[in-house]
Amino acid sequence: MPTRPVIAVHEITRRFRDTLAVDRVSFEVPVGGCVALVGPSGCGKTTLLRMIGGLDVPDAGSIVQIGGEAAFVFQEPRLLPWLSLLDNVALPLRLRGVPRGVARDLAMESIALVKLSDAVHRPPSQLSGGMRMRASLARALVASPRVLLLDEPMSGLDEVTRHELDEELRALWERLRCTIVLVTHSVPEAAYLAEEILVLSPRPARIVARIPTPIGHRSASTWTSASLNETVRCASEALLTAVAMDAQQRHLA
Amino acid sequence: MPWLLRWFNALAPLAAIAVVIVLWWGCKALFGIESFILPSPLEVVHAFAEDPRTFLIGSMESASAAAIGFSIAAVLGVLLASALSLSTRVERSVYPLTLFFQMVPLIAIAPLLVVWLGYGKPTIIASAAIVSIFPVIANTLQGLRSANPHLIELFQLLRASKLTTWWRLALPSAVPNIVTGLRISAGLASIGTIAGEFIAGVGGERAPLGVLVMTGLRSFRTDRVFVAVLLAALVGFVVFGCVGVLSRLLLRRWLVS
Repeated sequence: MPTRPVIAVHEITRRFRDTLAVDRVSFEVPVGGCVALVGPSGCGKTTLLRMIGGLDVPDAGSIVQIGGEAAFVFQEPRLLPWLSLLDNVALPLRLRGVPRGVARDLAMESIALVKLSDAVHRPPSQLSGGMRMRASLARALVASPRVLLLDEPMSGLDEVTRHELDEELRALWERLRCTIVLVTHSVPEAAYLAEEILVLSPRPARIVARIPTPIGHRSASTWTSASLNETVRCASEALLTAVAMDAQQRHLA
Repeated sequence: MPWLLRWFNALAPLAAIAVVIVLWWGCKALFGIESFILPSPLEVVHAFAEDPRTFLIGSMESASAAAIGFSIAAVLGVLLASALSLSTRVERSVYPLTLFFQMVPLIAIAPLLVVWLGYGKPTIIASAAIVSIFPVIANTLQGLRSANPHLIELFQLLRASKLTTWWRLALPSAVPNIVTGLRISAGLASIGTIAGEFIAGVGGERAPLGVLVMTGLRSFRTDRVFVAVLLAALVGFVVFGCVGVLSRLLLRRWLVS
């Protein structure tokens, strides 16, 4: 069943002075889809995401994003230290001129989604790393965005918290069905959360492999740990090959 | 013995004051200094006791002038710094001008203030404000520039206007710096008040402390001068203390973060 793409990235290129960061990348994300961009650190995947979110402009190529305003979850939680969790989550609505009462009610709903209802009045300094990340996610969800851009949201967290949040993120996505682009350097995370993994090469970022994941097939029978492992193996192999080839080229040069 | 240490810490400043008073008394008695040059502590207390109303009214007058002048400096300083921070071009051109307020000796412009505002309270308040505004401007500007770039980007992403970004991000980020500025200028405000009173103070029923110092001098009542000077110090201390308490309350939220 072909679905209409919400995000269509076509041949985009981005250059910083004389280094090429993103080189002719094209991909599409269907309505309600989840695509993961996986690549080694510093390969330009964040740059790619920032361009989709409108925080950066490509030098060439085009990005069509018809999902309305995209919500961003950054690598750092980026909470205002002087506001309570509740007011931090309500911030995007307040900035749009939504009255405080309405904004807080919506923020409460969003906070309930990430299971932080017990901590609404705490300042960020009294939240753990995982809780801050949840707060940041709640803030992104508060305006009911149709497109969610996640920039390595779990990178600062410990392994256990990370697994926990991955599971919840997956449940949230299945419930809300917003379109997600996830940037991560963890292949297992990408395989677990996304429908399709795009493996990027070291800088400049090029797509070296497109690997569908078990959830991508949307049928319970294929969704087994064996098929998940197979996906992880495929994507890891593509990633390692890309890194090895890059190292070889650098060596030759 | 921690309780002993605590008592010692609490009493140490009082002990220092007691030592100063004893030395003061000792000097006077030992060298036989005349009272119109150095009155004894007892004479100073006496001078206050024989005319407490005048001194209390004078203190109130000076304290209110200092508080009003300080408040004007605080509000105007924050607003001016905010206006400057909204445009780097304006900041670059106007900031040197604000330095003028820091550099110009108050004594030199006070007569001008008298020409414009007349003798009395308006001039005194203005001189308190002029003396104390610069630290507010300088510290606020520094604070407004210190907003976390990650948060600035977040506000850009959320399409916040310049004014909204100032109100919800830059200003709250600047609070610790603003508080530092306010503390400095609270001390300066009381100095500016007394200096303003020297030049523009009006005597009579509601004479402020600066005027009481001058009239005490002219009538060779050094004991009254001492009372006025000590009260002026007390006024400065109270204004500074109030700002200190307020700032601590304000900062509670910021310090933990």
